[in-house]
Amino acid sequence: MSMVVTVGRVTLANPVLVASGTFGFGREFAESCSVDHLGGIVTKTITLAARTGNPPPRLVETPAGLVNSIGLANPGLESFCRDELPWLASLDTRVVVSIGGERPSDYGTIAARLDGREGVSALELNVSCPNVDRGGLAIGCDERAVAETVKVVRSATDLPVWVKLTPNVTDPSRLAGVAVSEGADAVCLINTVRALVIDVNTARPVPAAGGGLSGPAIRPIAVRTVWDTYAAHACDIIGCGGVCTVDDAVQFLLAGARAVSVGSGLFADPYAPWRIIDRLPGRLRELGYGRIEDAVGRAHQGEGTR
Amino acid sequence: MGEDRAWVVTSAPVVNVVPAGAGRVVIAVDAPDIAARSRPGQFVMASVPGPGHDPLLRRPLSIHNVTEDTVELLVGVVGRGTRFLAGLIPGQSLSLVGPLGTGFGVPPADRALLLVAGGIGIAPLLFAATVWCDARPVALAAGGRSAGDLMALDRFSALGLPVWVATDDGSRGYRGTVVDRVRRIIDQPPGFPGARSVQGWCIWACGPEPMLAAVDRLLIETDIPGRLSVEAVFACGVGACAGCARTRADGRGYVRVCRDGPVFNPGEVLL
Repeated sequence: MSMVVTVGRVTLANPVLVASGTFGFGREFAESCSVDHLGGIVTKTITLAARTGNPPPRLVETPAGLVNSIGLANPGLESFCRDELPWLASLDTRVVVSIGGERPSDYGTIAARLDGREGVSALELNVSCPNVDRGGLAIGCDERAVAETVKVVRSATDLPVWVKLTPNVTDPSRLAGVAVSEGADAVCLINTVRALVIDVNTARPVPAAGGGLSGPAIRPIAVRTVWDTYAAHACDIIGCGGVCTVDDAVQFLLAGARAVSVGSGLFADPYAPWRIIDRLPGRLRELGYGRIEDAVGRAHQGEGTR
Repeated sequence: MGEDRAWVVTSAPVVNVVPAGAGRVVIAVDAPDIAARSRPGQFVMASVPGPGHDPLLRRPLSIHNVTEDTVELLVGVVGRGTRFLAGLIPGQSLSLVGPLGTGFGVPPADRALLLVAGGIGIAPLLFAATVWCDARPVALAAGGRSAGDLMALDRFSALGLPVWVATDDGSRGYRGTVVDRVRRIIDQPPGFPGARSVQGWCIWACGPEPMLAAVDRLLIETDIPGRLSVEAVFACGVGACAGCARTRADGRGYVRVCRDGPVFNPGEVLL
């Protein structure tokens, strides 16, 4: 069974990517794993200026997940282009560069700089990070801000544009519709869920300013978001949120995603994406699907209509 | 990728589990791919399997010792993850990612190596001792709140190393902190008979944060070379997620403990 899929105007060797923020720029995993066998790498979000990120502690484990407040620590656009992009361009796998900013115009500026750059297969607009004061989630919760951001990026580049959306709104599928109507080629559903832990011994919040919940705990939220968005818009969707096993991936496909990203799943098992890639064809065949396409959105078709 | 992989994910059969006092255990696993690559000061990320990936995160454990294909891990119970690990029995398997992190490195050739341990911080220092005791004069200073917080000392004595003990409550050895004891040790030049041209001490330390901070201050104050093994909460463990960041002492941002460390030079990390 061919695993090749086209999603958001990018053709992937298989539908399994790694999620932004969990894989850096690929070097650490490349030391020990065949990153070229991944369907794609979504890089850590880069911003115009370098960011050191939030003070520690940045992580706290929660039931079947974790809350993070990394704070978009990244070397900045210039350093990325100089120090990371040449190596990423040498890989066979597709590279999706995640970009962030404080305002829509920042996204446009970065998009213009990456337009036409060798090695960049697509841009993923991070309009959903809950761990920054400006931009991020603040954009992703606002339809007009999302529209403006996508529009600015769309006019700055011909690259495929994916928009990573937040679940922290009443109806994420509305934002997805807005993004697509402004020219986005795909939406990535979902980024982390706003969350917090209180340390009962210190009576303090951890992380100090709150953070985003990820991992298997959010998978039902992510699957629901994919389901709602596919039902409303039938647009290209990359499913993200607690993908750990091949059946998790299949769930997202059936809900309407054409590809999935593995993020926090890497923490439980660094080999998780490769295991899913290995097992997906056999599992789909077992479930009665002859092609990946047959599974995408199949859950919307009701019982007995395989 | 083969032999040039930096770290591997491996399912390691548990060979032996030996109690180490106060609910602690030393777990020996068969992990040739990790054993072959390990250096003192490195760690592994151990999986705590639960239904539905709960807990999600692996637990970091210093490599306590390596003998041929066997990796030993010293585990103290501090929560549900370590409680599971301490309950493992031979025949079960443990999924490990490793070896990870920078190690202690090479001790200067003209120095005697003083390993300084606080409580379960002694864990990585045994591996350091077994690797270096033939090439350098090595000694151990181990401390804890009371005698029950001391562990593994017999393994160091078995190597023929001098061992100094300190307990806050005086229930064993010197009454006081291990750093107080270390100050007295370093007041004298290292007295290793037959050790040629030893210029002084080099200190490798691991233990609770206040102890590490005290060693850090001592090393800076005395200009004694040394290395400190620092703790953090880890997610990926390999340097990709930046979750384990700790503040640099020079105020210029953060270090990744899993990759830039866990072993650092004095004065590098804010303790």
